[in-house]
Amino acid sequence: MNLRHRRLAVAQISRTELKRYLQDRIALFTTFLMPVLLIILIGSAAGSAPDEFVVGVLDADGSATSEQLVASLDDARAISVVTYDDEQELRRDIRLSLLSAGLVFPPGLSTSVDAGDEVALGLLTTQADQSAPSVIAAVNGAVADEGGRLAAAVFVEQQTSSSLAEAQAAVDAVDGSVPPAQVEVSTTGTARQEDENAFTGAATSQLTLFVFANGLFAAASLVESRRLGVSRRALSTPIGSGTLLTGLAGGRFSLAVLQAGLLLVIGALWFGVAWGSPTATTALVVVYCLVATGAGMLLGAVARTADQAIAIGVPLAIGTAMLGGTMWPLDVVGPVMRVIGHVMPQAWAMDAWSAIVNDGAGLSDVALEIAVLAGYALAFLVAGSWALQRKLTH
Amino acid sequence: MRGTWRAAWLIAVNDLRRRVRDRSLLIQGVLAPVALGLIVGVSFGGGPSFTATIGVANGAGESPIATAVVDSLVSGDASGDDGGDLSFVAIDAGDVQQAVADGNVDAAVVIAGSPENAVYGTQPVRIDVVGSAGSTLSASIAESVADSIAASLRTTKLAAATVVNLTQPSRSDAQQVFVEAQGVTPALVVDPQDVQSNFSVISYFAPAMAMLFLFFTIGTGARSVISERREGTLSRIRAAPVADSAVLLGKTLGVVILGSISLATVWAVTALAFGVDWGDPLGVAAVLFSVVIAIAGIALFVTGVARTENQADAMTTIVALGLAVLGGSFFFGASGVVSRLKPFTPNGQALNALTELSAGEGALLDVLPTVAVLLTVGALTGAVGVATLRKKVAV
Repeated sequence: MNLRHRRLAVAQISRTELKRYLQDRIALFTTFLMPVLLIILIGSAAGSAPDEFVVGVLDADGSATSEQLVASLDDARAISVVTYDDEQELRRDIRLSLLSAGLVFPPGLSTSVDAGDEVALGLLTTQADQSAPSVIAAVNGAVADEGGRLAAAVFVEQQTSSSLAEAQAAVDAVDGSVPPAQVEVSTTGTARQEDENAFTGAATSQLTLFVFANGLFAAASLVESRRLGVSRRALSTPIGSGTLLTGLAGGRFSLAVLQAGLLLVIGALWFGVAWGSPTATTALVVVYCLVATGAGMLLGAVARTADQAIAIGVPLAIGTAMLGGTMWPLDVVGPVMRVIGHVMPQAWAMDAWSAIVNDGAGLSDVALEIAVLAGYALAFLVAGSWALQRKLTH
Repeated sequence: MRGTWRAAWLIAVNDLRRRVRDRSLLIQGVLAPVALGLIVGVSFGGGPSFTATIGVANGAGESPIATAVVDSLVSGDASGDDGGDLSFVAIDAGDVQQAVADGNVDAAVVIAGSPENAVYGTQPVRIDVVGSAGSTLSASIAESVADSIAASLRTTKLAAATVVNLTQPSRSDAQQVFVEAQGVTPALVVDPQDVQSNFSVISYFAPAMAMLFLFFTIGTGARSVISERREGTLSRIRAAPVADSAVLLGKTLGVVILGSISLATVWAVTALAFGVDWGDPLGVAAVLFSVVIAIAGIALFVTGVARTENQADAMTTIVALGLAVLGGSFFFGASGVVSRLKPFTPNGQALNALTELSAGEGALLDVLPTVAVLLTVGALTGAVGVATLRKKVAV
């Protein structure tokens, strides 16, 4: 068989594989519909970087003073307030980390304040929550004005012969003549695209997750062809095992590129994602699709039945996605999990995406990530092809 | 009737024996949910983490008040905590922009105007906050710190100026009043309290993943009716004096027992090996059993509606993954659309109930409405499924 015939055979096998896969309704669902659905759900739920702490407030006092405090908290830039009526519910949501903290205004707060007593506002957090000191600083900043005015009145009461009410009136009178503080806020650097458009993070993570997952799911059809003897029969023709394996890999690779390409287009047109440098994006997509293809070939060679390929493939896709930072950014986990995460190819792809879409990185800036991914692709493809060839010829 | 039950039981036991031999069941039913739950548990075991380093700079030259403010923040006095996760470092006023841009600090607070002029004179307090566009939360925290400093200076000013207004003291006494007023602290103090929590995210994700895989496990069981009809085993069973209802009852019993064993094992392994507390055992058992019934019902319904084995397979996968996405199986503490859709899925209902038991410290009584909903869903979808499958058995 000459080179031209061999190329034709590879193209024919690839085309058949792609066609077979696209006829499968599950494949269409996991390839296109599910990632888009997840981009919508994740993108509309939240941005990737938190820009405020969600603090639950239970106002058991219900006085003008406590309402004023709730309003000051809500005005603070670092805090968004959710009000609660039931302390049990407040505690549950803190345990669930739905809230960064809970603030309880005790009954009789305004009476104590009017009497000049120092009032402790219970700030509920879990011990494990490392953000507690930051939340405390934010709450302190928000209630400082009100607390300061009251403290000043108590000082005046102690230093003069006035009653507390008179002292408060005197402080209020002076308050009007003191110019307000000037707190000027400026920012340096440019905002990350992920922070400005929440769909960016969702699109890069779902693309990374589903291209790899689909690569693994495609292993089922490989096992099925093996089991039915289709691959063996193909080998009895003069095409040779190299051509057959290249064709099989080609089909899976085309599917991965088709999927990634569609998600890139949908991301740009529907979700307004700016994909950055075309050369860096193309190189990343191509090399990552090769990783997914290789992983699928390897699983297709190892699994004994199609059911087993799915039974292993689905948890493997979810598990590696979790570890590799496509279900949550690796910035939010500890250093050990970040290192473990980088054993997964997804983590390298996510690092590269972040650099491309947020920092405007070009091909040379993500050369390391692409080289590592190329290493994974090579290892998976060589191991997968070797294992498949052994299965088919022995 | 007794014969029907006996035959059904035999069919169920036989199905179970065959499935247990298959390693896929062990992977999907137990290993995968426990492993995926553990990954989440280890990733978020320490709770959500946010740490910030705020630079504090004295831009007021020789000002004693500014020096005191910077010193008290850096020594940790003002944070009201031992520091650790929110720390303050002193930086040079000229280096602020560079320190933030280089990421040496997440944000910075600069005491810009002379605080003495603000406290003793009529100038406003001036504090600059420099944040990084990449860390808006740190900038907001720095702004809160600036607000605290400004409020503290204002308190001193208010306290002292009011006393001076009322008492008209001599110049030296007035100075003394200002010195004493600097010791005035806000009347509202934040008192951090720990919410005791044994809650582990493993008790959310392990059952969430187990329920996802349950669709596949139960789906395979339900589909065996179609495959056995194709392979002819069903005709052989029907040749024996066994009623069609016994066959379907046996198949249903088989998938319910299988699902219950899978979820109970995931519960036992996470509780015994990793000390995860799922909450009131009676409540947990009721929710797990009822969600098995609901998923079994839906799987039977899907299998009944499907015309071929492949179609049943495709529909089960789509329903399983679709419900997992909509039911919040992949997100924890989801807000927005997901939290609104969650109650409309059986897995979402069960996850909400399990959360109520673990984090909300609820009991059986609190989850009974959910249990009733799940059992009803299971009974209704299962009834339609069995009715349609009955026709398939009879053909």
